[in-house]
Amino acid sequence: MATTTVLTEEGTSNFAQAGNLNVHYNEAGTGDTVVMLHGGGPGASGWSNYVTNFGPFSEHYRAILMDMPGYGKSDPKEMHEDYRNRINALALRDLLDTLGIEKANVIGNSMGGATAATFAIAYPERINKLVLMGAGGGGASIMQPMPLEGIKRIAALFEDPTLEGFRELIKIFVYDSSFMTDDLLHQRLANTLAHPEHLEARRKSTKQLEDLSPELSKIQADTLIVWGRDDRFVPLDHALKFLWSIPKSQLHVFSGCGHWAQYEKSGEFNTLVLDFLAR
Amino acid sequence: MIQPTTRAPESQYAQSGSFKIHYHEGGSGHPLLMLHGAGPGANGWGNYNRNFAAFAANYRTIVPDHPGFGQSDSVVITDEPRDVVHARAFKDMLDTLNIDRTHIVAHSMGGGVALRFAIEYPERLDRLVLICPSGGGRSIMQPTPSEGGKSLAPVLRDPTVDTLRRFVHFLVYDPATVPEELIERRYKAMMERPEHLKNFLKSMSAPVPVASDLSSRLHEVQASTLLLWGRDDRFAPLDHGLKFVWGIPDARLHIFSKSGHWPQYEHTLAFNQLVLNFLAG
Repeated sequence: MATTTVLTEEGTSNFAQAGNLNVHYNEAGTGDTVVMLHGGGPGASGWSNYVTNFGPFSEHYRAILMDMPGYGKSDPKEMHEDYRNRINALALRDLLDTLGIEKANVIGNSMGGATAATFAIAYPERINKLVLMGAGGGGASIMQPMPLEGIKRIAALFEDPTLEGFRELIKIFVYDSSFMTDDLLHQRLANTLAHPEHLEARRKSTKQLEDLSPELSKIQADTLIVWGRDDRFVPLDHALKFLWSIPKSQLHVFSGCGHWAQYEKSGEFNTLVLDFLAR
Repeated sequence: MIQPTTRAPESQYAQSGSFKIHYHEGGSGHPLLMLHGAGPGANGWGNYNRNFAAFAANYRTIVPDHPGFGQSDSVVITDEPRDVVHARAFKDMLDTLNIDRTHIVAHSMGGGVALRFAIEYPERLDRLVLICPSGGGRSIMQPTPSEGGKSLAPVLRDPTVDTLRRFVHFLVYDPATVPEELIERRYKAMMERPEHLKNFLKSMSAPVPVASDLSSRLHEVQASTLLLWGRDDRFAPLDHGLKFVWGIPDARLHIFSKSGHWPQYEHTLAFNQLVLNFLAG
């Protein structure tokens, strides 16, 4: 792989107006667009979620990491008038409009996956290929009681963000948490506490993710579904539900992998997804 | 659409224990053994001719016929399970060819054989690729035997183009992707060795299962493993894919939608790319 200049958060940081929201994103690379949508845990951002993928993707694509409404350096947003996934998908469309991007490949993880699927359903003319990792929006599990333990921890952490809470969250977020350091936990906590307006908006929101099950068959985009076998946030049977419902789809399951496949299996993930996008 | 490589490399034979095994070989580099699935008229070349060229460009690629298939010696299974007998034959074949270690890509019955090989001869195996393998025991989602599995015996008892076509159509998601020439070619191959059909039928009444249930031994598989499955498989139930990805310590599972029991034929390009990437590490 070619050596490139090391990308930094500061060096790739941008803001754009998306409808009535000011949205932050990181951008690098040229060519067709790949947008990456992060998950919904407290303190999450495009940069933190895709830190091991942004560089490799930017070597082949115009790679955009979008901070979702209510996350990172984007505007806070209370979710009342519609489900979170729909408001997010609209914000993505508005961002693409502002940036003059007609069509994008969309990659989404967890809440970002629900958003990406919603985007594919609502704006089929704006999407090339779709990649979903541990995607939300699958509704009820037929295998596990819901909410899953990870989702319960996220809810508790939004109410009371503490270092110990983050430690317990990261432990079950990934299959092997040995990379976790106190520095990283402090960083996550600091990212969360830096934006009390996001916590406030989240607490006041009356709508979260909707059950997209009946809509999934409308997805026309060629779709790659990626799942961690040991996911404790979104159940593995949802991967099968997506596979059976989305007309043109394939599923890749990593063993020894939790809810963060693009980080936990970054080498295999990057190859798998780059090949899929190029095919 | 990828066209099959129509010309097979010249036939070769290796004495493998008590069996003379027929195989095709091409390419150079690290050895790669490609094991075909069962079914009347099946053989290595028929199974992998859409994939052979891509693999031979990177590996010393060896495509044998199982004992009891193609131009290899026939066999009647009596007291030892078929996967044990075949796994030993391929270990013996590696000895004859002076191959110490190999990658294995294996389909269906061949997958069950490869699993047995991985458990019995771990020192001879590098990476393992299992395409909707047998060996998973009972399904927890579908009644056993499967619809496709039940279409096997009628061909063995009454080997005609019609019974064979019915069987082959169960192999794929969309029968329209199987040209009539393929059925005719397979029928011709099947009728060249009618004793294989009789012996397979006879073996089905042996006091050992057609494929061992290896569920309880999956944790013994040391090889890094890639599993591939067709979502719409009517032979090997999809829940076995989940059973294997839970049971084999280092595994990943890739499922193609709109694919039956023959993804290397139905999704050739994606299949070749995934497997080559995996073998490259």
